[in-house]
Amino acid sequence: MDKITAHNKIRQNESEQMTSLIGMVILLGSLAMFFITIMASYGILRVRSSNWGMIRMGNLAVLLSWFNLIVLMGSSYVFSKISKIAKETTLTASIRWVDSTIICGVIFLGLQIFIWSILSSNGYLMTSHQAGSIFYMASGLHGIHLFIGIFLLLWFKQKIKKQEAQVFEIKLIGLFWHFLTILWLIIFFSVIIF
Amino acid sequence: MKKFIKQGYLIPSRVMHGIWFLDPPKDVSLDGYRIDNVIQYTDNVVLFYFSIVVFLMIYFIIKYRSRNGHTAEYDKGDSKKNIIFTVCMGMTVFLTVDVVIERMAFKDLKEAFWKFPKDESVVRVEVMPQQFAWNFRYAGEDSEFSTADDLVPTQNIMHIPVNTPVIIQIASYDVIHSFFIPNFRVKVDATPGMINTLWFQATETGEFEIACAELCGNSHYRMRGSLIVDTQEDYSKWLNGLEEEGELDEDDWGDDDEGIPTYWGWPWKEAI
Amino acid sequence: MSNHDKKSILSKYIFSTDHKVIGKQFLWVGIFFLMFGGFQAMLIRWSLSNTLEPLPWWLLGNFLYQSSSAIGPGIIGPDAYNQLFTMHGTIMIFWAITPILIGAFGNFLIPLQIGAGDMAFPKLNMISFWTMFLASVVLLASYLLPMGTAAAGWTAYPPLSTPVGGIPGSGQAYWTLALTLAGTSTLMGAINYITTIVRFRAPGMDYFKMPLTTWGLFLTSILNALFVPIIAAGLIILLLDQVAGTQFLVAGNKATIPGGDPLLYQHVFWIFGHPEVYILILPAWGIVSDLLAVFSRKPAYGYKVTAICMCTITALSTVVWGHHMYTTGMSPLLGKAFMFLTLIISIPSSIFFLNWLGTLWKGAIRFEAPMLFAMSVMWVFGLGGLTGLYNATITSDIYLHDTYFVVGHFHYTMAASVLFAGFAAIYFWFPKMFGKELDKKMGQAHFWLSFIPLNLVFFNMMVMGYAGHHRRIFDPTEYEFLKPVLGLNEFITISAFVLGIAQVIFMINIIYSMFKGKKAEKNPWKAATLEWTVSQPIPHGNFLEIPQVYNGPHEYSNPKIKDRDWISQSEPMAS
Repeated sequence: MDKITAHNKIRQNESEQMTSLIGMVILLGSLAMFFITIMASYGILRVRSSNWGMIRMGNLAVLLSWFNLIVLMGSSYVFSKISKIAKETTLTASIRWVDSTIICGVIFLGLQIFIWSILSSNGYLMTSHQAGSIFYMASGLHGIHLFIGIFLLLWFKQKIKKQEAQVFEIKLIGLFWHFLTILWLIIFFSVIIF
Repeated sequence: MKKFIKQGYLIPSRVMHGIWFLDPPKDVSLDGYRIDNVIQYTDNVVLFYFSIVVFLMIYFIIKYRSRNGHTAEYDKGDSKKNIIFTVCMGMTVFLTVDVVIERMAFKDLKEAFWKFPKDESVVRVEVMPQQFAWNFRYAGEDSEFSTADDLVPTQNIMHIPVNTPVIIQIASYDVIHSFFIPNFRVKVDATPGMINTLWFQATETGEFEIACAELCGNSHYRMRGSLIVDTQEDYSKWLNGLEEEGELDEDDWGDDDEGIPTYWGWPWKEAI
Repeated sequence: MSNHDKKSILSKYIFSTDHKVIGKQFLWVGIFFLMFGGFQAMLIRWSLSNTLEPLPWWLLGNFLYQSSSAIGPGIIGPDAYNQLFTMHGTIMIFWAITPILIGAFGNFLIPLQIGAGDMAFPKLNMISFWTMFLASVVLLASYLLPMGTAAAGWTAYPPLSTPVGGIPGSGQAYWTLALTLAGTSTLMGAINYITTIVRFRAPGMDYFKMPLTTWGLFLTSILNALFVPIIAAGLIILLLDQVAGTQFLVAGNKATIPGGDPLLYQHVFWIFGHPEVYILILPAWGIVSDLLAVFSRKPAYGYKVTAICMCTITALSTVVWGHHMYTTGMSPLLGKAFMFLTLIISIPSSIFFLNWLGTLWKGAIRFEAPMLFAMSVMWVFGLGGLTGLYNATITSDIYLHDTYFVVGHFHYTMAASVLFAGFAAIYFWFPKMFGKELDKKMGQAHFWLSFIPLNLVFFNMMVMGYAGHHRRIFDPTEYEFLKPVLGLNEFITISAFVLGIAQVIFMINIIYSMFKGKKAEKNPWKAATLEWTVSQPIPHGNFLEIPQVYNGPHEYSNPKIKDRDWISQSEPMAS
């Protein structure tokens, strides 16, 4: 391939990357509006209630939730390694980090479900009180999106194996993944802790 | 000028009556005329501006129709003069229509609709719509609501004295309803878990209809109530004829056999 | 390119990623539901003027409402009536207008008008259509439920729309799910449209050289991307109340979980709901602006000002939602703020409306079907927009809220303005979409038989509303104060039937012309925008080579061009 064609290919590639980036940014903007509405609804219901703060989740559930938060933040850290390794060596080498991120995600979801079961056996149900309704809804919606994120990573892993993946796609998935981590931070501190 | 607006003139109402060729129900309220006036004024300006638009459209259609020898003029309308003209016209519409009706509305809200009467003679009624009837409650001798001497008339029938301000507080039993008295031009939503307040005053005696103005289920269409405006004497007579509700052994908002809630009622929400 | 010959029917027509095919798929879904919703309107009108009488054969009285749970064979009862207007509203807004104006014309036109080969994300485009299809299946499935469909109005206010409200069956939950899916489809479309317009404009196609149709679709997509997620959240909260036993939106006596708030739903709904009506009308405004220029043979007057006004209205539409809630008992300060902001929208609206008049002024007007419909939008939007004033003002709204006045107002702005713009679009772009011409005589008949009866139907509704007739009433004879209005009901019904028959003419025209219509030339309207420069049938990738844009979108009657009265956007003006 001569220099001009190669140059054009790089330009075209950059152009495609920018297009995908814009698409992902708009998607995240929409998701942000979605979760802002959920959180605002939480805020409104909480402000109007008199005894919200008195409803407790129980120490075990809270402790496990702290642990889970660290798992999710860890997953973001591990994720950041994917593109670092992919750029320094090869995409194939980064598969380990893709796997690790997926594992962190799966642990998070599994533990979250376990926390749910602890809470339900203690009488903290979705239908017990508004606090319960909000908690299960927020964590459930977050979990569904994280599940999608795990799927994205699995799909990306397949692409790497078939030599069809591109480094910039990591950035795209990363925006989604880190968005969910930040979202969880907000949910954690405002719904679970506060 | 103010007098003209107050009496609903700007162009004699007889002339402009023609837009909406059916009359609204007869207004028997103290302040309903304000609403009729602002509608009247809006009618006038709407008619004025829309007539101009229609005239121009018809004129342009005829004068500028495509025919042999006639070509269009290449005018992008983006010169400074053009833009200033259109913006000025937009502002003119805004100043003659929007600003005026806004002033009228704000004034009416401040002077009447949001200015709740405070004097002794005010009649207070609690209203609780349910699927599909209207419940009313009057404070008894003790002038306190949600006490044993509350008076609860038959469902769907509300009495008030003429020429006396009436304040109602309304909360729904189940779903959202809306308390609408066409002859008084008033309407307020009844939401469960929330108490809204409304006031009005009758200027004539008579019997008027209450309608539910928010979809509330399959019999929403026949959730009809009666507002009976009595003379002061008749009203007192009627009120005295009502039986006290009696001791509240249990505040029973649940359905009894006929689905009519009993012992509903809340302490009057102060500080309007 | 050679791969395209090898594509199966499945990938060429069913799961196509070509924006033109997807656009047509949305068009069929939209037209189907337009007819479905229109038929429902006929049933509603029958019920209002012939309450509890069996439906005649031509309204399918032998097939509908036959089950044992119905009031009588072929008779619409109060339950059925509530279901009818609920589904009519829902279908017309989300399953007819949205797929036709945004799904069909957005998809078909955006890449062509900006000089692109396809959308930015063709696979996402395909998924967006099939998500809409799934949403349609869920919605129609609710008709098979033993207890019937949703019946809480298209607004579905809780607690009525929750189990507490007493509407039997799961129709309401199906409705919520279907709408969530439809919203997801719209969101995918919005991402695609915005990205395509931002990234794929041909060289020379500056933002202020785009046709106003594209502007309308662009602004609509921005509103969609921001506000559809908001209603999605609201719908999920509602859905949980409907199926999971939560009570986010239930309060008062019937609440078993304290702390819920029915008004929360209303705020969330209308924060979306008000931008939604602008979402529906912005493409219509763009289409009308462009068509007025084409058929007056002169540039759209004040193009840039119009575009800026559309942007301003888009922005303002986000802060006025409270005017749907004046009677809910909101604080006076809040009410006044909403009223003020709502009235401000008058300014940009009047300005661009004047620009429409300016386009006609000193033009050379041709009265083809697209132009008749475009000009009729001026009429109906003029009326519809002006009657919004009564609803914007708090005091007049106290009386007019939830009466037929509002029904008349929104049918003028939606059913009339948006729908007629949709008709104008179909007549205008049919030759480009299908390579055939629509019959002209049928087009004229369709126009007059639609325009006149429509005014007779909805203007009279406003008269009824002014007389106090409140909404969603199965049987108006229950009220004394409505007696003077009953005769008008009959008149409206007859006009509505004529309006309905006119649409049959339209459908016949479309079906006949698609197969047997006269073959259309490449640019029958001598229009200047880029979609008219492509050959027939339009190849994959649309343009054989990327066009270079030189001119604005409405170069008509430019004195520099000597031999004709137009020049395409991609043709350089010879010096």
